[in-house]
Amino acid sequence: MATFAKLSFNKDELNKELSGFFKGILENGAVDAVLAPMAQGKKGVRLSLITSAASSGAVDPFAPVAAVSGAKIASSLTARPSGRKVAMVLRPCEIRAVVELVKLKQVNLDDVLMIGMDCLGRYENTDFAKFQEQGGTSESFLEKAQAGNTASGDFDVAGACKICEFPAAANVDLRLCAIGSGGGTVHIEAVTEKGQAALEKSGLKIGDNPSGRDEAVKKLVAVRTEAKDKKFAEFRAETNTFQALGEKLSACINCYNCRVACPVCYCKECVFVTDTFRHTGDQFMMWADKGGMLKMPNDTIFYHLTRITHMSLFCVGCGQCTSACPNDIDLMPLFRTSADKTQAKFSYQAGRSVEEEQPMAGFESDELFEVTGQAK
Amino acid sequence: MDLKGSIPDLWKAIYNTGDLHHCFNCSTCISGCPASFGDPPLLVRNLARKVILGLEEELLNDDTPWACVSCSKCEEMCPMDVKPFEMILSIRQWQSANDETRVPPSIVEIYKRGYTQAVGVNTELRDSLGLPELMTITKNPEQLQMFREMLMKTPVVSANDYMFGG
Amino acid sequence: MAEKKPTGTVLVAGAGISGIKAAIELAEVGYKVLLTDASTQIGGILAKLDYQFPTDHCGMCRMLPMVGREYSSQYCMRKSLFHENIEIMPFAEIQAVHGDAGNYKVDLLKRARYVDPLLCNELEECIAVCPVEVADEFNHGLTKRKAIYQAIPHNTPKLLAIDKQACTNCGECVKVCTPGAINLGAQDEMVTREVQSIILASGVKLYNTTEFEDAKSYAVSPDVVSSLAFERMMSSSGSYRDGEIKRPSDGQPAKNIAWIQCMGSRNRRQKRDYCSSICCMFALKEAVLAKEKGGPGVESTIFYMDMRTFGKGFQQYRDDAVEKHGVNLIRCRVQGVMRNPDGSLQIRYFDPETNEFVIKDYDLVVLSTGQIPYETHKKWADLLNVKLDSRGLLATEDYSKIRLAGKPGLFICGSLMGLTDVSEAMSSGIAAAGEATKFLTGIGADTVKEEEIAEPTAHERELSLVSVAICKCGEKTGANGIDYELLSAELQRYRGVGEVNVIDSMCKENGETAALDILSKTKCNRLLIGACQPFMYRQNLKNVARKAGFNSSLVEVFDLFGIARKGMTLPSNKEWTLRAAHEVKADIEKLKFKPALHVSTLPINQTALVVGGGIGGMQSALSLAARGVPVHLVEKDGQLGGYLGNNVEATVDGLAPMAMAKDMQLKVYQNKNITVHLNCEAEGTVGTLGSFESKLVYKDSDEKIYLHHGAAIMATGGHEGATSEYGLGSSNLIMTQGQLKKGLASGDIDVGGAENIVMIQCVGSRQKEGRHYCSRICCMWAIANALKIKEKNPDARVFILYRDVMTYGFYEQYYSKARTAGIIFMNYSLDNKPQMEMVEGKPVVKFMDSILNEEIELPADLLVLSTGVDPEESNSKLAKAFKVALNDDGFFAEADSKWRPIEFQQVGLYLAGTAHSPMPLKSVIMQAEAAAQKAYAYLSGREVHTSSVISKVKDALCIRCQRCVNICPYGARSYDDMEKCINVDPAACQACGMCAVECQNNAAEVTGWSDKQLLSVIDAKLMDELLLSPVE
Repeated sequence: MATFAKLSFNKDELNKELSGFFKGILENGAVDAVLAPMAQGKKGVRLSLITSAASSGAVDPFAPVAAVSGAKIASSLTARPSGRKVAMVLRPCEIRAVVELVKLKQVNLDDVLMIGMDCLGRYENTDFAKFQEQGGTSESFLEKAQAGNTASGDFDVAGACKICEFPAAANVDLRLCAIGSGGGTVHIEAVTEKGQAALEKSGLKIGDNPSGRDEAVKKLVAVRTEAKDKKFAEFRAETNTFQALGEKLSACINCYNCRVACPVCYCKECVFVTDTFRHTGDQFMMWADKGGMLKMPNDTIFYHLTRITHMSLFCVGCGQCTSACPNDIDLMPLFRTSADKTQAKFSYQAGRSVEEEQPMAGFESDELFEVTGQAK
Repeated sequence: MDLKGSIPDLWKAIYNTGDLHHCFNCSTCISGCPASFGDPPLLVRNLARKVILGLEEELLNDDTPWACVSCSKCEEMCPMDVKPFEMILSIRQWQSANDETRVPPSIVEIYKRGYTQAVGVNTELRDSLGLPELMTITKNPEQLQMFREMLMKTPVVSANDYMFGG
Repeated sequence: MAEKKPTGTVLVAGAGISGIKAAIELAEVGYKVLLTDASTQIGGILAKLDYQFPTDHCGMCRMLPMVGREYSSQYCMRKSLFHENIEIMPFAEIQAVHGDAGNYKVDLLKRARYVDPLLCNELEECIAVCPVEVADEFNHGLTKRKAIYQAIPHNTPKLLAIDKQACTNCGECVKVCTPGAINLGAQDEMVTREVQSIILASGVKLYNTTEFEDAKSYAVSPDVVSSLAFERMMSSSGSYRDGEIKRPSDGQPAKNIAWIQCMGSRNRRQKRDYCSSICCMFALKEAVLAKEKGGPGVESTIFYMDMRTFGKGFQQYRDDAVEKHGVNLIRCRVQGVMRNPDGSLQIRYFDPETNEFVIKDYDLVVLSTGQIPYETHKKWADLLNVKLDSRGLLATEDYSKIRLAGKPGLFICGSLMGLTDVSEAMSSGIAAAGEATKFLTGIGADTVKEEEIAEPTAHERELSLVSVAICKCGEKTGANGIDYELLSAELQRYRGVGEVNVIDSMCKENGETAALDILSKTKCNRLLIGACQPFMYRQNLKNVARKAGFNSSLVEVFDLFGIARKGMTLPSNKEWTLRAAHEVKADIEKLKFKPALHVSTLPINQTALVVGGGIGGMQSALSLAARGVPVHLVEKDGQLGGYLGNNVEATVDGLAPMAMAKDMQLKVYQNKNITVHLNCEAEGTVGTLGSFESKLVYKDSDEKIYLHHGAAIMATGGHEGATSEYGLGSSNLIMTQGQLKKGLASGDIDVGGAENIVMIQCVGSRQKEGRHYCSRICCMWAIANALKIKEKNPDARVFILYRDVMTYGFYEQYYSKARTAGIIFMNYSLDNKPQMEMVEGKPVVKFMDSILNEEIELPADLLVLSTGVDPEESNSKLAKAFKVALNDDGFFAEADSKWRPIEFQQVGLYLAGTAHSPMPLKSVIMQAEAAAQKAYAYLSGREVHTSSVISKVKDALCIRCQRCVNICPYGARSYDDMEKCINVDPAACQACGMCAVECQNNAAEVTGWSDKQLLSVIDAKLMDELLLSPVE
């Protein structure tokens, strides 16, 4: 049975209340550090690593932005662990990427108190800047978004968020609940024993379940699932030939930003920047010969197809690839639609559970027969 | 079944050859045996087992050896060379020798019908192959009568004529 | 100056799989082998089989050596065998053998094949024009062939021959044969060869459906076929097409198929009182395959007497066949097959399940036809002037299945020992090679000294420049219309090509000199050679290249012929020369991006470790010690001998294990090369082939020593199984076969007054709960004990209650002997097990007599239980220590159940005897010999050449996700937690490429197969249309 602590706030005081909570867990020794979105200067909210309670004043967990995927940051902090306990405040998609990275041994959760937040979507980085200029705050966003309206002027939340079926975070110790909490209130839910202990140490009063939450989450998921199915159908129709796919990707300039932004594209150095793809002049000439001309830079579709084969089993649908593209190629549906099929083949869902083994990552003993002829 | 009363050496009295013990109950002898179609069927394999186990009582009362039609297919096919047909003849001999009043029911049948086995089987198959219908003695009452008279002259039938319906 | 020793040469007569295995083993140690076969090609029976138990795949290639694979050009064993130390002489018969051990002169009759394989261009134009059509014996007459034909469809080279009995001498083939390879007047030829030792591996004949005496009752239609013919029916190179098994008579699909076992075997009337051993598994496999390949609705039914699933994994296979695949097993031998007017086949049988007769129609009947050993044995006995034993078989020494009695230097293996399955054929081939090696070592014969050609260095960073050398091959390829000038010009203008040379007959001396002359002056650093039969000449051509200064990893040989054949469909010579050029470009690309590879060598520690001091362990130790290898023999108990050596005085076939063990012990202790460690266990091992370090712990003192060794043999044996069934231990009238055996020998058990003695077989065995395997020796033990009882008390009645009597092979004679001694065998089934109840202190056994279908109640004076063989409990500890696998039953899991029965997946580790699975003493000894040979083969070198083609880690790219570690089937990859990096064991890596597939980071790569290289090859292939436009 999950326990909740209610956090009521006065107007413009949500972040103050939340920072109180983080202060609490830092001061009482539940954790040694907190990684949380925090306002940086006047503009922009970035994940920040806070080790001193005194420095936690500007946290802004619900800010509708994710400049880089927190999963990448989680990897930086824990792949080679510090030995200190850290609370991480991440969005559901970031946590699902973390789950994949744990299996790939790129994140170590031993000393992590995972805090997930309800996510009603995020704006692209440039849009978020506009949002802030327009005077938007996390509170105002939560209020509008809960009412079903995420648009703000001529922009809206990222396409990935609109079709995301995971607004509530799983695989967490604590959850920051905004959906269905009611105005002026958020709840902090302890999901695990570890979370429970931290919640107790934070000094917040425990009790009072948000009664409308489950229903509200369910409703939101239904809306997004419908949007997702529609998007998938549209995209599949638009890319049903190799040529159509080529056109979708025609603006690609091989900057590889999408792979840098992708939280589960975990290679140190992408194969596309290694010697394998350093072609010789006569190779280029030969390819040009074949069709009379060669579009440069070449290998753009090949690059994306390779990424699909590499990543679609792990894709969590965060949409960072689309956000990162300087040429406005909407890559997210390409990866989500292919991931939808590849993951289904193995009854696998990226980010669902740490225990669930990644497909094709192990050697089953009955495969020995096939591959090596080894007797049982 | 109790083996208490069984006689381990009974086989010596019935079919005293080493051949019998070679039997490993493979069922070759029965699988195509024409007498195994009968009721009760002749099960050569079972007779061999009874002899080996020394089941004297059961063997004395077993009429199936008399259903053998001497086709000797079992003899020909037995992989262990048990010579089952010879065993059947030996069992008959032993039965007769050990029970003077014994009249095998098959003799009664021969007397009544002219034959022991269902000779008329496969009529459809014969027909489909264009073979003529088998003429059996049953279909010829005069000859059957003559046959019975001949049989009546043998000691086993005449001495037990009460069994042959007069 | 020391006298030059002769090079050891061994004649292996018979090129079935056991002969091939023996030949490969000898050749790998460095002896010369002359491998002959009476038929036109090699491969024996296995050449006909596409599918083998238990994987239901072909796997002959798995018998090839695992270390240094790229030295040979051998990939597929079904094509043929190529090894520089093996001379293959097919279609040759031994006519006479003169001389003595160590100095044989063998007269061989090489039969004329009328087609010279060296001249043949393999274009098969001769076959096309041949007007004669006869039944193809390879496919058992299911297909037709011409008088000029290729005997095995998958052979390379094709090795055409003319069947002179069918040939009409019309001469059409001669007319179309441009290279002049056909000589209709060719004569058989007599050659004499000198060899030091002979291994007979001829196998024995198998019946075909018309050859045995009962055939008239069964083979009543073309739809009654032998089991071997059925293999051909299921083969795509046989008559199998369109996913259906077809009746030979009318091509209709065969849906209802019956197998009849023991055709010609287990038949006293035909004087064949033996079991052919393999037919039960053969039939089960075929029945399963028929259901899998024959499409829906196929019913498989096997009529059997005893289902002899005695080998490792066999019981499991049988259970799966019945439960998973729905194969019907009916225990009834049928009297014959009837042909119905509509052509279908009728079988009448007695169903023991229902106790009723059933008449059923089948589309196809397969006869499991057995072996005919006596003719073959007689032939060899006459030729070699050796005596036959009382059974008409070549007599081997008492404890050996391999060594011919009284004839040093003469050995047998394979089916000559009694029909053997693949696994045993492999063990026997290795063991025979081992015996021959010991013999050759004894007479001082030398191994072949390899010609040392220094490997030229390759400069990795040089720009690739490819030299293409095309062998003109006499008139062979020219005659096929290749325009060499055009080909050269086409290739010359291709990027990366430095020069193109057309050289004639590079396989011959002239060509070789010419090639050396041209190539030593080249500026190119890579060499691509186009030749015929690259399989055959690859090694030679690579040597030439090496002499000319090319690093051998930068030399590739491609099949010019294969390309020529493909081009035949194109209309003009010009067009298909261009096509050929295009094909070659892909090879150029592959070579261009190939890195120079280097073979590294690891030093080999010359010491061997043998774990287990039973008879098998002692045999391995003695065998290795005899060849000068220092051996450490580790035994966990306080004495040597193992279970058999300390408990069993005599076996049913007249062996005396206890006396033998005593004798061996003496030899072991006297041998300076053997160090014995009693009360000692191996607890941990690090290292790899050639360099292991094992921790040995003495149980009594806790003292530890660390032993360095180069190889290890697991020979841990087993012991009689335990059971809680049938009140064992509750009464002194209830005992195991082992206890009875001991009691009878010592006289502690008196059977004098006993009336009824009951033995129950398979107690706790061959069932899913318990030992899910046949222990292979219990039937023989029961029979031995029963015979002993009969000897002591002829009046005692002994009942043996069995499920299947597993007296396979020539053990069948003891089953017969037992029956004639009056021992009564009664069959029971698993769902109707015998029951036991104590009545007045006496065990009363209740069981169903399946024959009379009546329950029998029998007070037993003794109740004896066959409790099977358990593996040693220490196996699990050892498996952990040596990182090798155990199977579900607790026995060690060999690398491959058929093809590599005595090796582990991890190189340098071997297993023998009951550590592998329960087996009779002679098989234990044979395996121990084989394991010793395998270990010796590696230890005899001073260093081990790792494969140059192995997977590597590009550390800078590696992200340490360890997915490659999890996926490596050979355990060659590990994560070093201290250094935080992935390590590859070069001796264990088999370059299968799983890691490279798994690694998305390109950090795992199989050397010589880089992405860059493969992408270039793909590119070259895709450039098709463009590059087909010729130079103007």
